[in-house]
Amino acid sequence: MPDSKRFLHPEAIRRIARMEVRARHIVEGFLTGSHRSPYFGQSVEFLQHRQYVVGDDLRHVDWQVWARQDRLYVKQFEEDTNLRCHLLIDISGSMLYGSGPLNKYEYGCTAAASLAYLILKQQDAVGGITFDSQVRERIPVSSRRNHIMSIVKAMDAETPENKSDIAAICQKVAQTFPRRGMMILVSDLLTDTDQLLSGLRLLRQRGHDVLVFHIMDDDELDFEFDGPTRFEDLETDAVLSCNPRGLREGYMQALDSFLEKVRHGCAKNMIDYALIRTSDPLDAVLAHYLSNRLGMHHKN
Amino acid sequence: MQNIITSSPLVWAGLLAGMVVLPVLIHLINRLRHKRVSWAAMDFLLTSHIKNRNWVWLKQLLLLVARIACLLLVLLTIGQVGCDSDGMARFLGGNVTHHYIIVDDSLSMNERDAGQTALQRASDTVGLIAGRMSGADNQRVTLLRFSQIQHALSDPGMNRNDEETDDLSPADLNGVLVDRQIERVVLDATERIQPTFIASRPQAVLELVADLIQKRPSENSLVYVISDFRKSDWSEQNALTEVFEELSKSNAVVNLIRCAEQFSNNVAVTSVQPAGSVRVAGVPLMMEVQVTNFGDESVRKSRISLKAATYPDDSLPGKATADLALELKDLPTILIDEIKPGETVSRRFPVLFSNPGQHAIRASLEGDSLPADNARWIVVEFLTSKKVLVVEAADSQDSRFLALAMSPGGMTGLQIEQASKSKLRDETLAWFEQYDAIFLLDIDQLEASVVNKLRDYVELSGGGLVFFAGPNTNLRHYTSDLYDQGNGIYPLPLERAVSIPEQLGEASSDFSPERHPIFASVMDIDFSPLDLVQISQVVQPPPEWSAQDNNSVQVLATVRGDQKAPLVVEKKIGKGTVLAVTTSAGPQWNNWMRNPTFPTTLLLVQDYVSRGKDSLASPVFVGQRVAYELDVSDFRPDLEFVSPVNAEEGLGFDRTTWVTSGATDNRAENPSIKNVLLGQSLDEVDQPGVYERWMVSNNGDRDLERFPINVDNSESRPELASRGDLLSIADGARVVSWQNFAPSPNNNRGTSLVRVLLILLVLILLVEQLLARSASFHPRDHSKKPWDGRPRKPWRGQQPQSRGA
Repeated sequence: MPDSKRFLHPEAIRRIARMEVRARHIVEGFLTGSHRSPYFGQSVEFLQHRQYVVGDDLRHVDWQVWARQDRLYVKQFEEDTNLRCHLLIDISGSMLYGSGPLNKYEYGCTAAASLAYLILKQQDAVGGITFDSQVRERIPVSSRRNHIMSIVKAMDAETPENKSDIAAICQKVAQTFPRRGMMILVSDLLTDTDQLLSGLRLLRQRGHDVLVFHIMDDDELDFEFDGPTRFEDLETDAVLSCNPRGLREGYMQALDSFLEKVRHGCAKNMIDYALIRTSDPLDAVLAHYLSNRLGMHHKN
Repeated sequence: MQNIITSSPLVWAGLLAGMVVLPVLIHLINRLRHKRVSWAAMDFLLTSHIKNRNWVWLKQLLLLVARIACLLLVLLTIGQVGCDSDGMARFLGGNVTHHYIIVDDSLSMNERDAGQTALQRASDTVGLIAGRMSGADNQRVTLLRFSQIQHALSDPGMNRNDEETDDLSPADLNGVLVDRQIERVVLDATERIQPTFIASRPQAVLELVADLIQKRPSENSLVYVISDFRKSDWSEQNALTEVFEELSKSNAVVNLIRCAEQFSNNVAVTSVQPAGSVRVAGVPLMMEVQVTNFGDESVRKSRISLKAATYPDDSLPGKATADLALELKDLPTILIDEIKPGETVSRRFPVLFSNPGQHAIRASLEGDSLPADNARWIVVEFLTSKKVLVVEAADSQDSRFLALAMSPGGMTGLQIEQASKSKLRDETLAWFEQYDAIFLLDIDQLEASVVNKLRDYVELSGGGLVFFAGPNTNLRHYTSDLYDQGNGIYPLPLERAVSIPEQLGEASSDFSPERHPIFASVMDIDFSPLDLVQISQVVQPPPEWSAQDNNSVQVLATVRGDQKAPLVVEKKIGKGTVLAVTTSAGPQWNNWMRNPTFPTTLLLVQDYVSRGKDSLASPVFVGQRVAYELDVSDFRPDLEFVSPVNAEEGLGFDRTTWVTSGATDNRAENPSIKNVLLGQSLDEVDQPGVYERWMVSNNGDRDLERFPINVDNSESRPELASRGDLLSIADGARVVSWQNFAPSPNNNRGTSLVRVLLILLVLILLVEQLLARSASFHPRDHSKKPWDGRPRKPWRGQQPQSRGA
C-alpha cells in the first residue's frame, strides 16, 4: 500500500535544500494525506447561503430566509483569524548535535517553517524569534503569505554556538508581546530545568497558549555508544573521556528524571509538550500542532 | 615446578613480567585511541560519570587483572607447568600418576641372544617408557633394580614393617617429577644398570612396591616389571600371587614386559670340591668339579679350564695385602664329550700346592650364552701335615702296621702319633682336636671321662674315631658303656667273639664290602686283592641287633658266612664319624695288614672319618652379606676386606680394599664381641671370586681368611615362565614382549594441571569478555553507528513515537 507520508521523513526532507520549499512540501504532503480537514475557520464576513442538511448546526440557520421563503438555509462566512502565533526557535550550540540526516537545529527549523507555512495557510498570523542566551532575530507577526520567507531567512541567518537561556527569553517575550497569542517553543531544552519551567509558566500567566516541541536526537535519548569515547560539550569547554556503556545507566536515569520533570512541569502549567525525535517524520509536529488547536478550541 | 621454562629463572621472570606489562600497555594505548563526539547533553553524562566513577574504575581494574591472568595462564599452560606438591595437585583435582619401573638385573639377564643381552633390551624398554612420558604433566617415575632392593631389604637393620618406612634410597630414581628432561634423566639412570652376578628374586622388590603403592592411595600407579621371567622365579609362587593381588587391590596397572626369548642351552659349573680330606702341602689333592647342562639339548665337547692360584705364605709378620703376589698356574683342561640335558657330570683332577696356606682353584667353562655362571672358585687350606693318633694296648705292636700303611715315608702328608690309653685320661679336648682321626686298637675299656672327651671330639669337633677289636676287647664294657643301648659312641653291641673257619679252595672272600667311599679303591675290580684277606675271628653283636634300628648306623662290610656278621660299622655322631671294625688291626685275627688293600683302605678310612674336621664353610653367593664376630679384646676393631673387583678372573692383583668398622651391634652377653658385616654396600660383594678378610690382633699379628663368593645357580635353568604361568600369578596384568610393548598414551589417568589451567583460562576469558562488554569495549550494534551521510533504510511507515507525548 503506497504511503503518502514517506516523503515527510527527515531523510527525504533533507534532500530539499530550501527551507520554504521544505515547509510547503511538508504541509501540502500532510494535508494531502488527511481525509477530512481537521480545522475550521471563524469569520464575521458573510460569504453565501447553503441549503440546510441534517446535521448542520442550528445556530447557523438563517431564520430570516426561513421566515421569508419557508426554506432552511444556513449561512456561510468567509474565514478570518484572530490567532497570533510566535515561534520561539532555539539556536543554541547544543542544537547542532545530530546523528541522523538532520541535526536538532535543522530539524527544529524545518518544523518551525512547516508550522509557519501551515499557520499562514490558515490565514493566521505568525511571527517568531531565534534565540540562544539572548534573542538573535525577531520576525514580526504577519499573516501575509510571503511572510514565510522572512521567517526562513531569519532562521538561516544565525549559526548555533552559544548556550541557551530559555527563562530569560520567555521573560523578554512576555514583555515584548503582551497580546495573547500562541507561543511555540522549538528547543532541546538543555538548560536549567527550573528556570525553563518558570519562564514557560510566565508565558502562561500572560495568557499565552504555549506549545513546547522538545527536539531530541536518538543518541541523546538512547545513548547507545560503544568503545572509549571522548565527549566534548557543544556549548562549553567541558570534556569527558569514558567508556559510555559504563555510564549509560546513570545517563538514562538522569535523562528520564529530566524528561519527567519537564513533562510534569508542562502539564502542571497546562502547556502542551511534545518530545520529538529527529528521526521522526516531520508531520508529527504538524499533527501535534493541529491536535493542540482542536484542544485549544475545546478548551476555549 | 620443573619444566623447560623454569630451567632458566631469568627467562621465567622475563616472561612473567612481559605478561603483566603487556595488558597494561594495550589498555593505555586503547585509551588513547578513543573516538571524539561533540555532545550536547553533557550534564546528564557528567552526572552519571560522577555517580559511577568508582564502579567504572573498579571494572576496568578487574578487566586489566583478568587479562593479565589470562596471559599468565597461557604462559603456564604452554610451559607445561607441573606441581611438586602432591597435596596441591590433589587440591587442584590432579592426581599424580606414578610410574614404577622395576628392572630385573639378575645374572640371567646377561644371557645374550642376537648380539644383545636381555638387560640391554630392558634398558631400551626403560628408554621407551621415558620417551613416552616425556613432557607429561603431574607424573612421577621411580626406577628400581632387583639387586638393589633385595640387597637393601636383606639389611638386618631395615624394618620393612615400619609404617614410616617408604625409603627408596637405593633406587636409581625415586619419585622424580616428570618433565621434558625426564628422558635424559632416565637414560642417565639406565646407564648405571650394569649386568650383575646376583640371582635376585622378584618377591622383595614387588612387595616393597606394593607396600609403597598402598601407602600412596592418592596416586595412580603404573608398574612395569621388565625381566626375562625365568620359570624358577615366576612359576606357581603363592607369595608372588599375594603381592600381585595387593597391587590389584591398590588399582595399580601392572605391565610384565619380557625381554628374553626361550633359550635352549646353558651349561654351568655347579660345584668344585675337594674329593679328599688330606689337604697337606706337597701332597696331591683330588678335586671334583661338577658341570650341569641346564638346557634341553645335549652339549658336546665341553672344555673345563682349571687354574690354581698359589698364594705366598701370609704368616710372615708385617706382610701387607699389597705385598702378596699370587702365582697363577693353568692346570690341564678337562674335556667332556657329552652332557645330556639335565645331566650333571663330575670329573676329578689333582692339584698340588707345595706351600701350605689358603690357595684357590678356579674352574670355568668356555663361553656360552650365559657366561655369568660359567666359572666357580674354591679356596682350600693346605697344612704342613695332618695328625692321626693311634692308641693301642700296652703290649700291642699293631700301631706299626697302621703307621706304615698310612704314612709310608711321609708321602701321604699324615703324621702318625702313638699314645697309650692312660694318656687319654690326662689330656683335654683341645689336645684331642689337633688330630684329624683317632684309631683305637684293641682297647679293652675306656674310662668314662675319656669316653666323654671322645664323644665331644667326634660330635662337636667333627673328629673321626676308628675302633679295631682284638683279643683284649672287653665285650661287656663295650656294650654297656660305649654302645649304651645305641646312645653311646660305639655303633653296635658286642656279645661274643666268633671264630671264622678257614675256607679252602676258591670260595668267596671273607671280606664283603658295601659300596662306600672307604672301599673306593677295591670296588669294581674283577680280581680284587681284598678277596685274599682271611679273617679268623671277629666280635659279633647279638643276633637280634640290626643296623636298621638306628638311622645313624650303617654296616659297611660283612664277614663271610650265613650270618653276615658285621665287619665294618659306621655311626654318625654330630659333625663326626665313628667306625667300628670287628676284627683286629694286627695279625691276631686276620691277615689284612699284609694285603695291598690295607694301606689304601686305611687312607680312605682316615680321609672319610676326618671330613667332619675339614668341612667347608657354607657357600656364599654374590650379593650376600657376610657377617663376622670380632672379639675386640684380642683384635683391633677394624677389619680389612679385599674383594676381587676389577680383578682378572676373580684372582688378579687389581683388587679393591674395604675397611669396615667393627664397632657395631655389641652383644649383651659378651660386650667384647662385635658383629662386622661385609656387604653393607652392594658393590662390596657384587663380584664372584676370592675375597680376603684381614684381622689384626692387638699384638700386631695378622689373621687372614680367604673365601670364595660364587654365583647362585638357581637362575641357570633357562626355561622361561609361560604367559599362562605369569597370568596365573598376576591376574589382570598385561604380559607383553619387549618387541610389542608400546607405552599407552593414556598413561595419565589423572586430571592434569594443564587441564586445570585450561579450565581456569576459559573461565577467566569468559569473565574478561563479560567485563569488557560491561566496560564498553565491544560494539553493541553496528547499525547504531553515527549517521555517515548515506540515507537510512526506507522508512516503513511506523508511527512517530514520542516519549513525552
